[in-house]
Amino acid sequence: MNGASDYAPGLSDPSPQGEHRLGPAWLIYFHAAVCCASLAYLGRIYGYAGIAYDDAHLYDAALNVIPFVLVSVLFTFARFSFGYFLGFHFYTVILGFLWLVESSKLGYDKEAASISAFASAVAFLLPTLFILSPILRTDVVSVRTFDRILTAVLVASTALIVVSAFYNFRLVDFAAASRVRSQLNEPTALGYLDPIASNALLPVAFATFVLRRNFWRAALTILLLLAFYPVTLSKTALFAPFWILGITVLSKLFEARTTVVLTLFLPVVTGVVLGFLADQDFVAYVSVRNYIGLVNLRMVAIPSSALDLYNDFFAKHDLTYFCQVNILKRLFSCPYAQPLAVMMQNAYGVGNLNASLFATEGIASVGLAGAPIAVLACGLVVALGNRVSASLPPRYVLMSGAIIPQVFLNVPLTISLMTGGAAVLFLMWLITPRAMFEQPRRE
Amino acid sequence: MCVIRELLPYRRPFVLTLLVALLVLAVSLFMVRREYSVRSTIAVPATFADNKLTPLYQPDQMAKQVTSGYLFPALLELSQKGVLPSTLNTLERTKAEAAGLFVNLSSSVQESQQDDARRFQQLIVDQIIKERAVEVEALRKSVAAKVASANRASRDLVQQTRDFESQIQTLSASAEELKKQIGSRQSELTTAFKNTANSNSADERAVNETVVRELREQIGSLLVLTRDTDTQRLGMARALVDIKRQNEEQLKAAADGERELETISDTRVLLPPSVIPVSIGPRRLSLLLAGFFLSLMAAFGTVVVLYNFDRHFGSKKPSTGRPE
Repeated sequence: MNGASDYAPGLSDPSPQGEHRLGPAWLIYFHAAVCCASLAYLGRIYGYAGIAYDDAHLYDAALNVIPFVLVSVLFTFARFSFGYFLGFHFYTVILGFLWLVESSKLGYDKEAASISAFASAVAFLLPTLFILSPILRTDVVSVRTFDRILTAVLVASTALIVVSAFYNFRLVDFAAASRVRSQLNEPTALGYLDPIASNALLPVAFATFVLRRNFWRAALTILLLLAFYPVTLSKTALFAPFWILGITVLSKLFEARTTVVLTLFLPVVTGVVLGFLADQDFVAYVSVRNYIGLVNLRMVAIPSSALDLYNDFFAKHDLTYFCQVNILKRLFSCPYAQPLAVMMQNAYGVGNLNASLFATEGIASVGLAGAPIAVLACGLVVALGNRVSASLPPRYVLMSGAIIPQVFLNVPLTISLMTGGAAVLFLMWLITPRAMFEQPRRE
Repeated sequence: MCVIRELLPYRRPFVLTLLVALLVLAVSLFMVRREYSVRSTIAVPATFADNKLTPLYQPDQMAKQVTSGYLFPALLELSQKGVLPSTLNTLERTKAEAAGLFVNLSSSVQESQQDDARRFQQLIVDQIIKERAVEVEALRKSVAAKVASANRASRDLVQQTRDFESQIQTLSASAEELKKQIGSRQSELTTAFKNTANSNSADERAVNETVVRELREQIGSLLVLTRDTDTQRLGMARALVDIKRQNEEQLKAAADGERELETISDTRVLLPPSVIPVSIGPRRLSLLLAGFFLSLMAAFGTVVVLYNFDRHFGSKKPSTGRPE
């Protein structure tokens, strides 16, 4: 582990003493409680994907979750890193799964699945929270070169948006976007480049511009991020600019670890409050339905629910032994000709459901018993992100990596790295000159 | 390790918070009033059809009807009889679950609410039985009408069978008679051929040849008649098979209907509203354990707050947790 001296001084942290203190504890407890309340509410309203709300399971769900909340101690002791950011998102997913598993109507070994999920979470968090040593201690590129790279990113992103617009350009609301997205027809290369630009390159550019107080270029970056929505029609593209701006504001006000918790706590608690107000007839349910459906359900509950479905499916079907990865599928025989997301749609009718590394590299590939080991390996890969971003300002890591946790929650590790832009983000962090964030010392 | 060493001075607030939180949670847990379960079970009307017992109403639909329909009139009736609002609130959470052909009603109530809960469930059960009885009776009448219709059709078909069999017998007799006539004509023809061959004069020969020609014509006519009779008899035999098949179908329909009539069951109460004698109070041991975990978290959270407070506002030297 590194001392706080590894951080660039000055711009690195709104609270210079932040990293000398322990991380949040009570806030994480509140977050866990709010997540459980959110899931109970969602189960009652939606009854999604085999999950049905039942008062009788409240005690069991609470008993299942409480020991896991103790794992949050790790977040109190750990220093901020990319792994902290991602790890907290996965902590929320596993917490949600442990709550949902008790009321799931699907028929698999719930106890074994709970133990496996618990062990997998710990196996993932240990390397992602505590492997922090930097890979390189000298700058790979100069500040001037990096500036040019960022300018190239802006130009290339603009070109990418223009080219993509020739294939698809539709201004529809996000509810309609889900329906229309399946009809999009664009070259495979754009399918890779668009998310890499919007999830990794532009957030890096934005973070750099904000920390260097280059606000006009930062605003231009936000506009470019927004421009990806009409050509990709993805919810991530629509909400990415607002999400990054939110994290920018929060990270200005709070210490990095508190910001991480607040990025999930605030949206979820807002949904719970809105749901409560709707229940009490203070607001109409239709006016809050979209928010709750998008944030509490889609963003937080569905990744947990996906674990439930994957557990059930692979309790009754052959494991993939990683053959879901296209390269491996060509080399080895695979029991599944179709992608796992399509298999899930065929089996459960919940839409094409990709799932996180816990479900895909874990449960689907090696089963419940092997999942903690596979997830540990994934944690070591994520720890690479910590090592390449070590000594970067926490605020920079938060802003530039803002979108990536959402990608990791919904797709497997391999897709997150290659298609989702995580590998490119790691590369950008590796070459980001640390000298760029140094302030002249005051006499 | 370094951080943990720095936290050691906070062991007193840790232990104090742990004990206070555990005490509060344990006391709260033991103050939670015991609850009892009032349950009743209804068997939905069913019938034996297609070699399996089939419910006339889907149990899960009936369960939904209980919670979305039957519940409220029963609550209203109890309310008019002066049952306390708190009890009504509790009873409103009564659950109805389908299990096989049964619907289970269950209310978790306190001891003082047991009688009201029993009355409440009895009202629901009575209402369900009353409404379903009318519908089951209508179904019985409908099935009985189908059975009667099938029996009538079967009787008609039996009569048709008899008629056809009689006609076939008549046609068979005709065919036999025709065969005999053909045989007789053929022997006469043989004789006529011989006579023609033995004729002594041209006149006699011409007469015999005329006889031969006439006999041939008669035999030809008889053969045509025989063929027509056979065709008619074959057609009737086929029709007879078809009628017999139809009759069997009608008999089967009547038998199925009668069996259905016998097996249509009414909505039945398997378990009248009863208080399950075992308390379903909270599982205290597991909850105590959960309470211990919660207390640990509270204690740890308190130590973290104190530690961070000291680091941020106080001296860098960690607090001992003791008053100065």
